[in-house]
Amino acid sequence: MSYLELRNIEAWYQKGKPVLKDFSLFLEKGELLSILGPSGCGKTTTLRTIAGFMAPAAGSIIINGKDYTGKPPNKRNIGLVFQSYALFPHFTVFNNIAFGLRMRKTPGEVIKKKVYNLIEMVGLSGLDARLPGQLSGGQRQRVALARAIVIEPNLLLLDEPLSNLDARLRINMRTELRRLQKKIGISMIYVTHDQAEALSLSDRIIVLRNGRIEQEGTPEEIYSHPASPFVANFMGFENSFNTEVISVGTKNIVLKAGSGLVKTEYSAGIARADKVSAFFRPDEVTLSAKKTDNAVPGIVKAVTFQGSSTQYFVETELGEFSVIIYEKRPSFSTQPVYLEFPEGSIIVKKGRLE
Amino acid sequence: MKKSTVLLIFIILVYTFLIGPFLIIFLASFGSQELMTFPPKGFSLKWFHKVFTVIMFRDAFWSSLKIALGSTFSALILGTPVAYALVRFKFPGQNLIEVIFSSPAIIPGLVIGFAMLRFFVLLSNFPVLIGLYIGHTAILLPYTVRVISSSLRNFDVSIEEAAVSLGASRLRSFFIVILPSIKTGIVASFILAFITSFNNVPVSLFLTGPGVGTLPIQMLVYMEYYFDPTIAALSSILIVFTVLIVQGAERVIGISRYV
Repeated sequence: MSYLELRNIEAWYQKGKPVLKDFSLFLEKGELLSILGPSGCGKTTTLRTIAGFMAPAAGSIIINGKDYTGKPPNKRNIGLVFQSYALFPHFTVFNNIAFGLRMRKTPGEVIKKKVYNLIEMVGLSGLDARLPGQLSGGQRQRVALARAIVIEPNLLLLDEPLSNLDARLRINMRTELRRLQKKIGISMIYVTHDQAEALSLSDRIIVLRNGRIEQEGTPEEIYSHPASPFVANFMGFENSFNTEVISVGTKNIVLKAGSGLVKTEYSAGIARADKVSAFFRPDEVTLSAKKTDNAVPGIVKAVTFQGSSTQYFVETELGEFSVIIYEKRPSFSTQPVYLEFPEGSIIVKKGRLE
Repeated sequence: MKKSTVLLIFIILVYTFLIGPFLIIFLASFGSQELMTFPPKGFSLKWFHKVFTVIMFRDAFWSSLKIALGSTFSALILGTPVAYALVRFKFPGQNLIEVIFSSPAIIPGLVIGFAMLRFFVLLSNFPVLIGLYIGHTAILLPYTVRVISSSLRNFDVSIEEAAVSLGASRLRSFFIVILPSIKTGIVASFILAFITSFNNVPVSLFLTGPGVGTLPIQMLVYMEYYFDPTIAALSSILIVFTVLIVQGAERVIGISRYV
């Protein structure tokens, strides 16, 4: 039995319009699970159901073998970290962090020790007397984290905790969060719409779409083997085209590509003459001025220099694609080129895209 | 004519009609003649002195104060949970409740006063002071509900949920987390409601009775018999009093955000 089990949860805000339907989720002790999906997919609803702010219409929530389904949120001992930080604006950093312990009637001396210990752990030493309004975004999120951890919760739930921070800080906080989670061995569910965040943090990822689990797996699995066009798109396979399978070998599949052909890695369940959709990432293909193997002709329509890389928009018979090449300066202008597909850069899914 | 000249004329007109009447009352209250005249002849503070010696004003002032304080507190205590429920939850009949709670601000005061009078007459021998207090509470509710709702809407729900997830009950988190965050809204609605009650005429007109009158009603009564500048002096005091309260509130909490 897993540490946390959501079994066949159904949840809705409006009757007849379930946000989650027959939704099950398992989490092991000390595991960091990310729920990844676009807005409206039900990821926040999942968190609110686990935290007890939403009563599921059906199903059960089991933590450590005990049924939590009907327990009020203030009796669940679950830590929450919000996107908006949700600090108590009139309390100092110390009092914010001490709040949960005070509710538990912990003796003052113990509170002091635990709070200062956490203040140090999250790198807020010397700021204990500040009010939230006097802190930066990153510092506020550290307070929110410390406040949720200090109660030694059964479970820590984080709802897009880093999305209000600027890009550089977000990446630093990501690493820090992961280190902290490993250090104290807390079980965590992390909700995000940012695939990079989910990939870099998680032990396991659940991709959620319209209240259903689209794919579940380790970051590596999901990144390299997306199970559906939706996940592929989410994982950066931004380019796609509809085509059909010409032949299937033991190692390769040959696809029709406009008037030519392209070859890609074998994928189980694909047969000859299948109508399929093909996906590739902008940075996993290359451009060449001369005709090469496994390439389709096209014309560069636009060039955007991005510093360490350049983005090209290439029009081909198959459609317009984005191509990113890591180079110091753009090596192509608006000109005819060949779009080259290295081994394994194309993934193939059954069925056509709209 | 130039655009700025037209604008200037409008500004002068608006200010003349906004402030002019008050200015006349204010200046007239310093006149030394027995009849109110403008421009005032002579200079005297005797009308101000007289305000404090007229028994009916003094009694009415205390009644008004008692009623205003009592009904304001009641409207706050009743209105805060209503505002909370309206903002935080979705339930059937929500719109209806919202309309019912704002109706006293929309229905003409005379109609409310008359209806309440008929209602209290049915409960024969209902104490006048209690009737006034209940009537005023009813007309103040829309103000407290609306002002507190608007500050609750600005309050991040996550903060309350954070408190609850940390072990506080809903009621407890209301007092330690929400209340301090909406205190400016509460002070604002207190002042607004207090002034509304203290100045109310139409509802009080029907609900005052033998021996109990509010200040505005007693001023009306006084004016029916006398036309000396005492009323002007009292009006000046009330104007200054109101302006000071509102100015103070604006300085401290920025009340204009809520009105």
